Amino acid sequence: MRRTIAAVGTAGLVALVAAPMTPANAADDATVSVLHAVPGLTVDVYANGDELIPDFEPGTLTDPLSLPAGSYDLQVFADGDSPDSGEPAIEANDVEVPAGANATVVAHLDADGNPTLSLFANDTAATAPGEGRLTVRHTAAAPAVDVRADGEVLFGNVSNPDEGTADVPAGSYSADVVLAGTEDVAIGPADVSVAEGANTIVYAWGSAEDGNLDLAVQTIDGLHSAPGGVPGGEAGLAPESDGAPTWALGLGLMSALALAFAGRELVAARARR
Amino acid sequence: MKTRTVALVAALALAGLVVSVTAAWSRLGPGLEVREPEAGPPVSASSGGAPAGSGESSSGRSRAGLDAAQAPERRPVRVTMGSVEVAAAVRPVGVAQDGQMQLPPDPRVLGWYRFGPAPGAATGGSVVLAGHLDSKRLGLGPLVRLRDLRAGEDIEVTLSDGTTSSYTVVELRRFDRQALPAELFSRSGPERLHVITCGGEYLPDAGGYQQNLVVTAAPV
Repeated sequence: MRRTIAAVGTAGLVALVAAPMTPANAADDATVSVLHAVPGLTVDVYANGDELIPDFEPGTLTDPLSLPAGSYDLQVFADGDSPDSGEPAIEANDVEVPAGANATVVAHLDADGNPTLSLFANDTAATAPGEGRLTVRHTAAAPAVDVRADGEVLFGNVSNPDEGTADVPAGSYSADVVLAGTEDVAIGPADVSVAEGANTIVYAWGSAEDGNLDLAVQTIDGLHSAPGGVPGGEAGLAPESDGAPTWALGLGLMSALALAFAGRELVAARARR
Repeated sequence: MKTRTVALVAALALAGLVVSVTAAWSRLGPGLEVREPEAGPPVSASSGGAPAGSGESSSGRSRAGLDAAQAPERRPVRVTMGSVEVAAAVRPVGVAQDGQMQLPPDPRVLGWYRFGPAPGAATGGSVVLAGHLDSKRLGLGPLVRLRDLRAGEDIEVTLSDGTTSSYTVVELRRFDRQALPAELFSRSGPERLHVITCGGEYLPDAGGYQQNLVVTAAPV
């Protein structure tokens, strides 16, 4: 199993923010999805003072939004409140969204159970043929965890708000989440289907204390690549010659000769008259 | 020699020339090129909705639970190519250890690339069937007759739900084994059926057959 593991936390967010900035125009849009992973609170999401997502329920993911690259002030209000009437439940200012980025904004609980916003960069690099990418993000009010696939630790010691990502053979995996370094199962086991040519992003969310830990899934497809080739036969029983078939060449040559001969005869016959 | 005899020889010779040139052309000449630009794979599933700051309510959303329903499987189980009398079972295959498309070891069975679209898929794109030309243990398979297929002939694919998808051959192309275009495995754009086997010279010391023979067919 080929495996590339990267643990990206706040460092990853900083890297995304540090990406080169370009003036915002239609060609420089970023693709942004928003996941609501704060239990028990229906919210309205505002970007730069305008309502972006109304009546947003926990456990819900938006379709990818095409947003102009730039700097965003994000505010999350309890449903019904607005910038004019109340204080935001969660707030993140100057969130930089670089041109061409594919990112997910997640409203979730931090390790201590306080609502927060995190911006994750989604890896949309091409996957090898036959493989899919599995990304697991810790966005739950819970201690560090190990993420296991088919009983084997795939991502070890992942803390909120870090992630682990790996390219694995496409297929279904029995996944569970245990407290780091233990066998204490916090979530699962659950069957996670890793589609070929897609990044399957699994979020652990909720609160261990409140007993509402859960999994949410986001899929980004279109990352596939073609197989390296198609093998052929192995016995060499039916090779093709590279050029025209031999019989065609022979027939052509003989026909040309016969035509030349006939032409000469005709000319000779005419001359005799 | 009588003029009539000479004229007969000339006519026969002309016919011979025509036949030989036609035969050579069908082997050497460019196939019937019906190509349409392939769109690149989309990087994101979809994008839409109102841009930030427009004040409009946003695009769709969905429950992000783990229990997403799987579409019922619909896969090719059999393929027939009328005029060349190819009739073969089809089974799903993936990718081999070496990154090449996996093929059933039996040359009488074709593999369907299960990571790509099935016939009639909403996404369009390329349905890929491929098989070994021959095997050391089982000898020649039916795909040896693929090279005799011509543009305009029919290919029928039977699916696991009992339905049949019909295609018409558009062109035959040959590619060096190292240079099979990735677009043959396109997962979007107009639907195409690609039937692939090997061809060209057989050089045992250079990996065997040197080319891939690719039949491209379009839905009827």
